[in-house]
Amino acid sequence: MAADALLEVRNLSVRFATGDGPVYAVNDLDLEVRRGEVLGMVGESGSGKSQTWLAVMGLLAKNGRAEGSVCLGGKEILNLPQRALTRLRGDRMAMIFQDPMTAMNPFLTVGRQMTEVLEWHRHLSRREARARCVAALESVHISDAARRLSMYPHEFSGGMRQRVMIATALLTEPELLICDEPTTALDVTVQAQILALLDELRQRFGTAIVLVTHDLGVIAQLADRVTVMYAGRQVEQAEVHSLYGAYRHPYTEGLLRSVPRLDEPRSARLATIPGRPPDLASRPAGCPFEPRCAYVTEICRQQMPPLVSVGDAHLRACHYDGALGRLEPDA
Amino acid sequence: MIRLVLRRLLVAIPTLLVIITLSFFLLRAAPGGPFTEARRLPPQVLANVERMYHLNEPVWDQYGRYLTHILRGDFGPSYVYRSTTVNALIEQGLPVDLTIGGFALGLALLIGMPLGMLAALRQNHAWDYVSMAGAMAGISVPNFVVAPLLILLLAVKAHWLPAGSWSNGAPDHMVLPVVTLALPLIAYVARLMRGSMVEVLNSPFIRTARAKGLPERTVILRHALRPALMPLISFLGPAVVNTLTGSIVVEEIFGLPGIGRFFVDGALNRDYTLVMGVTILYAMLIIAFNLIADVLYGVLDPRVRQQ
Repeated sequence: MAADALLEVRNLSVRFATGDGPVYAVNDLDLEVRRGEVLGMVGESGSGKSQTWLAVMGLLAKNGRAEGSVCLGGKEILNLPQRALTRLRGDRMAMIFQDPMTAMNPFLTVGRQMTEVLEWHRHLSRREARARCVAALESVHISDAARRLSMYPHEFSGGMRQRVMIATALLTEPELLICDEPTTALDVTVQAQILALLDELRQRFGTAIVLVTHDLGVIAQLADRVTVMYAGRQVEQAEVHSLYGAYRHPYTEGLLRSVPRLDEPRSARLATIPGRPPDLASRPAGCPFEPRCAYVTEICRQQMPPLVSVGDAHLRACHYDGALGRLEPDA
Repeated sequence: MIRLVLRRLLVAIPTLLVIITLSFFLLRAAPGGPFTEARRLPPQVLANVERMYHLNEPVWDQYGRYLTHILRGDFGPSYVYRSTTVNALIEQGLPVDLTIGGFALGLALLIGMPLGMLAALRQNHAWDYVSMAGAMAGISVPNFVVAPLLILLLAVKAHWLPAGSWSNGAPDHMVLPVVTLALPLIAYVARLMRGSMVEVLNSPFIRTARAKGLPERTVILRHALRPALMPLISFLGPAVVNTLTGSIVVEEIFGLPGIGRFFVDGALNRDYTLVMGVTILYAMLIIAFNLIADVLYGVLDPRVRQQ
């Protein structure tokens, strides 16, 4: 365990009670976020990546339950009572969401939605808070900040709103900023600007950033380390360059091979992963990726592969020991 | 905002004209007339009476005459309540309806809104089920059942309140009619409030507010309440008018001198001017309160305000 761990997640499970029985969204998750690093979490829809961080923030839907342990700076924060959570959230850790169009309250001015954070966490007066908010907007490169504070979210573009969300999240200089698909709803040029902004702010404030996305390109741009989620489990975790250069899990291979590349002829077909992700209501004994895996062996059907070290800060959960690279583009 | 109001007022003019025209000709198309009652008038008398009210003229002339009178704010004489005008009848009845309806509406908001909010916050808990079942009952039981029950229990048996009559608006005489009118309204308001609150509480910006660490009280009052009121406002526009005008049954049961009675009697007696007057009044109320609802929308929602 790294000494500079800011957030330690141990054995985290998230499950939802539904009319058709429990759904296991996250299973036995172990990871840590170090101070000042960018941890990328990648996976497809329903892989549990968002629910992991909603659980950390204590923001699970009412029918969701989290078990295990989450420590922020050495203190247990999972399932804290609401009152304690309100002191922690938005102060020491903050979260921004996918769609900046709906993540801001359309009925309140941008200024009101920013100042309330400082009024609550820092007990500043509205006027003092306003001055700090102007500075925060300027730090995310929004010009004419003082005037924009009295505007409403619908008067901002999507990219601007996400900047406002980031500025709001950073008002209290949190140690941890969780970004759940921060650029997914934005167009590509705006996406690049937001990523550059996150990188800049990380360097300026030393904030640790968690970047949840299904976009491997986003991870490659910003993350120091990556963890790959599949069916509510971590299947691989590594430094970003060793993941892209020497992935060790068949699912990661599938993900990387399904990204279009500029250095291949345009006629080349993209690889796809056959089949569909498993139903999270059932819990098979074996590896959840087994039905779709090109390297499947007998043991895969019987035993869940544990997440083990395969050298140099590289973890993976797979029984297969041979060489990868068998995955061919669709004929 | 001002332009919106002006535009809506302008649109109201043709709307009213259509309503006036339609009801004018529909009324005349109905068989019978104001003076073809059970007891036949001698032909000579009937002719005289019809001439007095210009009913012997071609219908287009009558229509034109009526329009010019309305423009002067004159709804004409009542054909059935002799020796009084429609204006006088409205002036006499409307305050009763406004008082009863206004109190009922206030009561409904005062009780229904918190009820619905609490149900939303305790979603799927006992309180939610109890209050929503109660609301369903409030909507389902018609007021001609509620009113006699209330009279029986609180007036006849317990002698706490008078059973009826207006008594120049004495407060104790108002309690039962107001409660009768308010019960279904409370139920509607509570259900609407619960539904919209539940929806708003599931919206992404509420999650953002919680992620900012705001205490639940602030999340509800500052972030959720105002958006949750919007469906209520669109309901209240027509509901206010319904309450003010649709209290005919309640007026009848409690013997209140409101307008509803005139509307029904007027229609049965082919009292053309009276029915027309009340119809126009109702139409204007509907237009006015829908406009008020739109203005409130703008006051609450900056996106509407700036359109």
